[in-house]
Amino acid sequence: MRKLTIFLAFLLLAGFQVAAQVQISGTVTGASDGLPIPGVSIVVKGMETIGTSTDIDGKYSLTVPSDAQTLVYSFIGMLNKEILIGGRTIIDVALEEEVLEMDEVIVVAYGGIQRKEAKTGAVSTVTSADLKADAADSPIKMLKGKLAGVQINSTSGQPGGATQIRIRGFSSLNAGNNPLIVVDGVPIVNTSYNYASSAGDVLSTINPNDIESMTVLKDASSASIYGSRAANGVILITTKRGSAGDTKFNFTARHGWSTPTNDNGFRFMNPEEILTYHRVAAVNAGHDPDDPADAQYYYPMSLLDGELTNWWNQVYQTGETSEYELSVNGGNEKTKLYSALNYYDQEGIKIGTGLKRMSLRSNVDHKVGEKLNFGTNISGSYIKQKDQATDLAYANPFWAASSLLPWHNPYNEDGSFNDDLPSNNGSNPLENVALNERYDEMYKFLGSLYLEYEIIEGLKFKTQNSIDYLYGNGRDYRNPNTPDGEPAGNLYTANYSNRTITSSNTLNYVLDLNDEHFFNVLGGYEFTNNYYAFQSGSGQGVGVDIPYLSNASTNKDVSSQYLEWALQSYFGRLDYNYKGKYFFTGSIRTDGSSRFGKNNRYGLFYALGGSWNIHSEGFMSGLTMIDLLKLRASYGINGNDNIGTYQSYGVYGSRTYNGLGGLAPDQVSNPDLTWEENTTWNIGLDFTLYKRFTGSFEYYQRYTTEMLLNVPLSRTSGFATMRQNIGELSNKGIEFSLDTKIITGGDFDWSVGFNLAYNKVTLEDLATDAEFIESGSFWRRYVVGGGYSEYYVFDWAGVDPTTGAGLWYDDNGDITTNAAAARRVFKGQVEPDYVGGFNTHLGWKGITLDAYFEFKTGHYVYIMEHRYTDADGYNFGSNQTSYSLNYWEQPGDITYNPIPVAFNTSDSNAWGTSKFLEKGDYLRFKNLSLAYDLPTKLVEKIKLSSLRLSLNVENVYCWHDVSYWDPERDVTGGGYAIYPQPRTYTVGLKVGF
Amino acid sequence: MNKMKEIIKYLAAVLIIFGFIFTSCDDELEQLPPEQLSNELVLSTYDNLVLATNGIYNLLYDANWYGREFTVIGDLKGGNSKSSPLNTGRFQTEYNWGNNASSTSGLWTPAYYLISRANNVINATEGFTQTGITEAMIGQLKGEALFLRALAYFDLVRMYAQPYTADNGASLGVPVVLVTENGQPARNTVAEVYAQIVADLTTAEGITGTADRGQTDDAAMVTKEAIQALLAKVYLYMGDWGNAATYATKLINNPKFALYTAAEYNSVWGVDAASEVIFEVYGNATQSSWPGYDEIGYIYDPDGYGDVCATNQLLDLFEAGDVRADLFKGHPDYSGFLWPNKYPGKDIIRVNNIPVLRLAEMYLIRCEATLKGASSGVPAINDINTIRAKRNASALGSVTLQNLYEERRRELCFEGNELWDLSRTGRGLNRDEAEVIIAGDVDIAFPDYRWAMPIPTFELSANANMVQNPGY
Repeated sequence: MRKLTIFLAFLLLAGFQVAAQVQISGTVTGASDGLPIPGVSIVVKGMETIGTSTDIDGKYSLTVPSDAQTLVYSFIGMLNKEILIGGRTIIDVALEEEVLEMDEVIVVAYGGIQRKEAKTGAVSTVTSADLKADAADSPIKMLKGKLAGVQINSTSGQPGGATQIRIRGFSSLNAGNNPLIVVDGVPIVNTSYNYASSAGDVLSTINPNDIESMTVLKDASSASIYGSRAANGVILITTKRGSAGDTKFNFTARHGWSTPTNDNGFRFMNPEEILTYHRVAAVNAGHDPDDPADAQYYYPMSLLDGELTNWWNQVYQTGETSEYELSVNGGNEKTKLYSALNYYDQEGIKIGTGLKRMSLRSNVDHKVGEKLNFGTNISGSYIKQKDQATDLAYANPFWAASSLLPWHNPYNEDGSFNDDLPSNNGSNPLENVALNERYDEMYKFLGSLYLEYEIIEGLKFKTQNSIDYLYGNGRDYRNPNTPDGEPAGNLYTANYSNRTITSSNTLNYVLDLNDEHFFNVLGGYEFTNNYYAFQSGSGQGVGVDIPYLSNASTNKDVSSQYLEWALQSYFGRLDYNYKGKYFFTGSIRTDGSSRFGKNNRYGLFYALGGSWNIHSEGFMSGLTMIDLLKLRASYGINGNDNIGTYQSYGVYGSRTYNGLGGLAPDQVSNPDLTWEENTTWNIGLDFTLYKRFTGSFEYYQRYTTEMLLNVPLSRTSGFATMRQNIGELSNKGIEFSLDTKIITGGDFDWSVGFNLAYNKVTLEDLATDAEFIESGSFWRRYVVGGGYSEYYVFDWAGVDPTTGAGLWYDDNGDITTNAAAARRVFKGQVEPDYVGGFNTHLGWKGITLDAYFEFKTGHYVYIMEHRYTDADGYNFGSNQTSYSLNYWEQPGDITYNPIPVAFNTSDSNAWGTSKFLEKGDYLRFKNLSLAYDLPTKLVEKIKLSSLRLSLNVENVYCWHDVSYWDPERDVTGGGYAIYPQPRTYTVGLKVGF
Repeated sequence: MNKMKEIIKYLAAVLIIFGFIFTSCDDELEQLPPEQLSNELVLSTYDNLVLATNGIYNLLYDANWYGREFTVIGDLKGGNSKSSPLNTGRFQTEYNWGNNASSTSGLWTPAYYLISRANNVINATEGFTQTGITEAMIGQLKGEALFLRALAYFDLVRMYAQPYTADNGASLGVPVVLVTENGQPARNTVAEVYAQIVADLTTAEGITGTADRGQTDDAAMVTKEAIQALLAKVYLYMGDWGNAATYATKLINNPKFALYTAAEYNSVWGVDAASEVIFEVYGNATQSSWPGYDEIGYIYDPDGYGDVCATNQLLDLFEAGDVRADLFKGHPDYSGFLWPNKYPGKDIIRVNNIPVLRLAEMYLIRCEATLKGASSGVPAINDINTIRAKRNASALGSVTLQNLYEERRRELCFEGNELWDLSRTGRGLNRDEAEVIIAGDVDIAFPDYRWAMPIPTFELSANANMVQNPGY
C-alpha cells in the first residue's frame, strides 16, 4: 500500500515549483551487495510533488527547496529509508532489502514468492499461524474449511485415514480429481497405497509442523504452468526455512485424548429394546419367542437376566496421542538452517487402530559469494498405520458392535474369549484385535538440491533436482483362533516402492524499464521419471508360532506389478506490469508424457491473466476508505494426465491353458489416447476497506473436454469397451472470502473471517448417445445434465398405516407393496452446493483464543448399512439402531418403519431404497484453541526465550441430522460402518531456548 | 543494448543445453508395460505366436461357454434336464424359454473374443518367416486357430440363429469377422457362416498334425482328428449326409480312439484324454473366474448348487442294465430326483474336462447320415448297435430315426446337444406337462422365433449395423 501511494505521488511529479533551492545528488545502492539500484524513487518528505528517481547507475540529482528537511527513498522490494538532509549536498544511501511478511505475498509456481498485489489468478494461502497443527495427522486435513473452494472430504476419522481433496469441484470421472501437490518446488507422489490396511494416506508422512504455508492455485493463470497435471488445481506446500540470527531451539510436547463424537443422539438399541424388538418380529413371523424348540426364534425375557454387554463401549476407546518435537532454526548471512525431529503417536477411537510417525527434516540454504546460492531440503519419515477390518466385515469392530446382541458377552467365565457369537458369525472383535495383525508401514524420503546462479544482473539460472522415494510394506495376519484365520492361520504381505526423480531447470530474468515497465520472464525445462514396483505374497496354514510366509503350507500365491512413466516439459511465463497498476501474466507449457498415445504424445497448455489495481488510479485518490481494489481476469487451458500408465497400448497378458503358458489380448490399442483438457475462466475482485475489511470475490467456469470414458465396442473387436477421450463436464462457481479486523492495536485484538464457495457440476456429454452411465455403485448414476453423480434410488413411499407394509411408488406413480415394482428416481446429489467456514481470533497480552467452524450444505448421504441395522426383521438376530423402534404395531399407526417380521422377505430394506437417503448438511465447530505465550521478561528469568502453553479441541461439536455418529461420508456419498471423526483434546507446551 | 546481447547469448547457451537434454530424454517417453507384451511383438516371433495360440484356448472354459452355460442350455432347453428342487433361480429363464436381449446367452462375448484372438494368429501366420521355423510349424498354429475360430462360429450360429436345415441357411446368422478391428460388422446369413466354417476346417485339415508343446492333456489340443470330427458334425448340421458320413468314418477307422467299455463307462468323465475323446476343453481352477462355483460340475451336483437335474422323460429312455443309467446321483432330501454325474470333478472343487467331440458321436452321425441317404457302406443298424453293445444295452433289430434320436439323448445327454438336435431336425420340443412346472410354454413347436436366442443388448447398442432376431 505504502509503496503504491508513493508511486502515485511520483507520477504526479508533473510540475514542481521553484523557490530557494539546493541541489542534492548521490548514489543509491543495495545494502547487501553494494550494487547501484536504478529507478529508486526519491521525494521530499511533506512535499511529495518534488522528487526524482535514480538512473541506470543508481545516481540521482534533485533540486529541493531550502526548507526541505528529509528525503524519502523507496523502491519495490526494499525498505523505505528517510534521510535527514542536514545541509548536505551529496547523500549516498544504502537500501535494505525488505523481508516480506507472509500475509503480503503469495507463493507462485517455479518462482518463489510474489507480492499479493501482483497476482492475476485465483490463489489462496494459509500460513502456519492459521494452520493449527495441534491436532492433525496430515497437513491436508488442516486446510479443511479454511479456503474458499477447497473442499476436504475426510473419508474416515481414522488416524492416517485418506482425505479426498477437491478444488472447485470435479473435472473427471475416470482420471481422478486429486490436485497436484508440490512440496518446496517438487511435485510429489499423491497416490495412497494401502494393501493390508484401509488407511494409507501418503500425505501423513509429512509432519504438519514443518509447514510454513500452503498455497492453493485454483485457476488457469496460476496453475497452468503445471500443464498436464494442473487440471485439478495445485497445492504448493512450503516448509520452514532457517533465518539469520541467534540459533533458536524449540521443544514442543503435546498430549491428546480422542473420544467418539455423537452429536445427533445416534445409538443402537439397549438390551430391553432389542429383545422386545426380536420378540415382536418373531410373533409377526408366526413364531413363539418363548418356545425353546423353535431355536431360531427363541428370544425369552430371561436373556436379560444374565450378564449384558454394551458392545460399542467395547470397540470404542479413548485414544491417546503423544507428540514431541525438537527444532533448530539459525544461521548467518551465508548459511541458514532449519532442522526438526518429530515423534507422533496417535491411538484411534476404534480399538486396534492408530498412527505412529517419526520424521526428520533439514533445510539448508547457503550463499557462495555474491552470485551463487545453493541449498538442500531433506526429509525422511516412517509411519505405521495400525488398522482393523472395515466395511461390513465381521472382523470390523464397528460392524461387530452394530450386529452383536447385548446378551452375547466378549469373555467366557474362565476369562477366555467367547466365540459363541452367532450374531457376528462367531467373530469376537476383542479377540480379533488381540490376536490378528493388520498394518501398513511407509518409509518416505524426499530430498532435493537446488543451485541458483545469477548470470548477469537480473538473470538467474536455477536447477533443482529431487528424489521422492516411498517404500511401503503391509501385513495382514489372521490368527487361526479367529474366524478369518481358519483353519490354520492366513497371511497376506505386500511391499512396494515408488521412486520419482525430477529435474527442474529454470532461467529467470527480471527487468525494470524506467520504473514503468516491469518484466519477469521465466523459461524452464523439467523432466520426471516415476517407477513403481509391487510384490505381494499370501498363504494359508502359517499357524501361530511362525506366522510368516515361509511357514505357509497351502494356497501360496504371489503377484506383482511394475509401472513406469516419464514426463518431459518445457515451460515459460511472462509477468509484466505497468507502474504497478496493470498486471499481465502469460504462461505456456508443453508436456510430453509416456502415458499419452503415440499420436498425441505432446500437449500444449497455456494461460493468460490480467489484473488492474483500481485503487492506484488517480481518480480513486479521493476515496480514502478504499485501500485496495483489484480486478482480475484469467483464462487458460490445462490438463489431467492421470489416464493410467499404459492405457494407450494394445497389449497381450498372461493366460494359462492345459498346463501351457499363453498370451491373450488384455487391452485394446488406442494410440490417440491423451490428457483430459480443462478450460478455465476466472474473474476475481480483491478489496481492502477502511484497513479492516479484506476480502475477495471469485467467479469461475471450468470446462472439461476430452474426458475419458469407456466407450462400448462391438464384442467382435475382442473387447467390451475402449477408453476414449470423448466426454465433457463443467463446473461453475463463486467464492467469497472476508477477513475483518474488528479491533487492532493496543493490547486487545479481535478478528473474524468467513469463506463460502458454491459450485455446480454438470455432466455435459457422456459420449455417443448415452444419457447416463452407471457409476459403479448401484445407488448412483452419472446423467447428462446432472451433477457429478446423482442418487438413483428406489422410490420409498412410507408405511401403510393399515397393514404396516412398506410402500413404494411404481412406474405409474401408484402405490405398491412390491419392492420389485418400485420405480427408480433421481433424488438429491452427492456433492454439496455450499462449502465454507468461519473463524474468529481474540488476542490479549499473549493470550490467544481461536475458533473455527466449517460447513457443507445441499448434499445427500446414503447410509448404506441401514439395510442391516434398520432391516425390519430381515437381519433378525442382530442389533438394530434406535430408529427401528419407530415401527408399525397396529392399524392406524403412522410410523417410519414397517412392521418388523423375523427374516423379513418384503424387501422393505432393499438395496438402494430412498428411505436410507438423508440430507447431509452439517455445521461443525471444528477447532477451538487457547494459547498463552508467557511474557518475555518472565521467561528470560528462567533462561528461556519463549514459553507457550496451549489447549486445543478438535471437532468440538457438529450440528447435523444424519442418522449416524458423524455426518461426513466420502465423495461417493456412501460407505459402510464409517469411522467417525473423533473429538480430540490436546494440551501442548512449546519451549524456546 | 550490450546487456540485451549478453542475455541473448546466455539464453542461446541454455537453450542448447536444453536441446541436448531434449534429444536424450525423448526415448524415455516410450514406456512399455513390463508385464505385458505389445500386440506387434507377440505376433512377430514364433515363440510368442505359440503363446498367443495357447492363449486362444482358455476362453473355451469360460462359464458362458463350455465351462458351464452353453453346455447346460443345450440340455435344459432340449428337455433333458429341468430345474431341481434345489433351484435358487439359476437357469430359470432358459428353462422357461424366456430369454430376452438383456438376459440372452452369454456366449456372444467369449466366442467373439476367441475369434478375435484366432484372427490375430491366423493373419500373423500369413507370409510368416523366421529362421529355423518350418512351414509345418507355422501351419500347425494356423490350423489350431482355424479350428478354434470355426468352433466359435459353429456355436454362435447355433445359439443365435435358426438352423441351417430350416431354409438352407437363408436366415440371418452372425457377423463373420476375419480381421480383428474396431468395426461394426453386419450379420452374415447362416449359409455364409457355415461356408466360412467349412472353409476354415478344410484348410486346417491339410496343415494340422498334433500339437507337441508339453501340454498336460493331448485331447484338449486341436489335432487333425478334431478338425475331421468337427467337419462331420458341421456337415450333419448342414444336412450334407455324404460328407458327414465320410468324415465320421475317418474317425471311426482311426485306431487312436476306442469306445468306452461298459466296465469303464463310469470312470471316464472329467478326466484327461479318455479313449473316446477326440476334442475336449481342459478344465483347471486357474482358468475359472470363480473356481469351484462357476463350474458345470457344481450346477449339476446336488451337494453343490444342484440347480439343474435330469428329467424323467430322459431317465425313462434307459433300459435296465444300460450303464449309462448309472451315471446319475440323488439327494437324500429329494427322492425322485436325479442329477447327472457326467462332471464328477477331477479334483475336490469339481473342475472337469468338458468333452466336445467324442467317438460315440461319430458312430451316431454316420448312423443318422446313412438313415438319411448317405452311402457309407456300413448299415445304420451296425453303428447304433456298436454303441449299445458297449453300454450293456440290448441290440436293436432294426433302426428308425426315432431310435437314433433317442440313442443320441442317451449317449450325449448333458454334453450340450439336444436343443440343436431338435431344431436341426425340425422336431420341436415336447416336454412332459406333469413334471415341468414353469410359467411359460411347456412345448415349443418348430419353427418358432425362440429357436434362435436374441442378440445381446450390449452388441445392439455398440454396433449400429446389428439387427435383432425376429420376435424379440
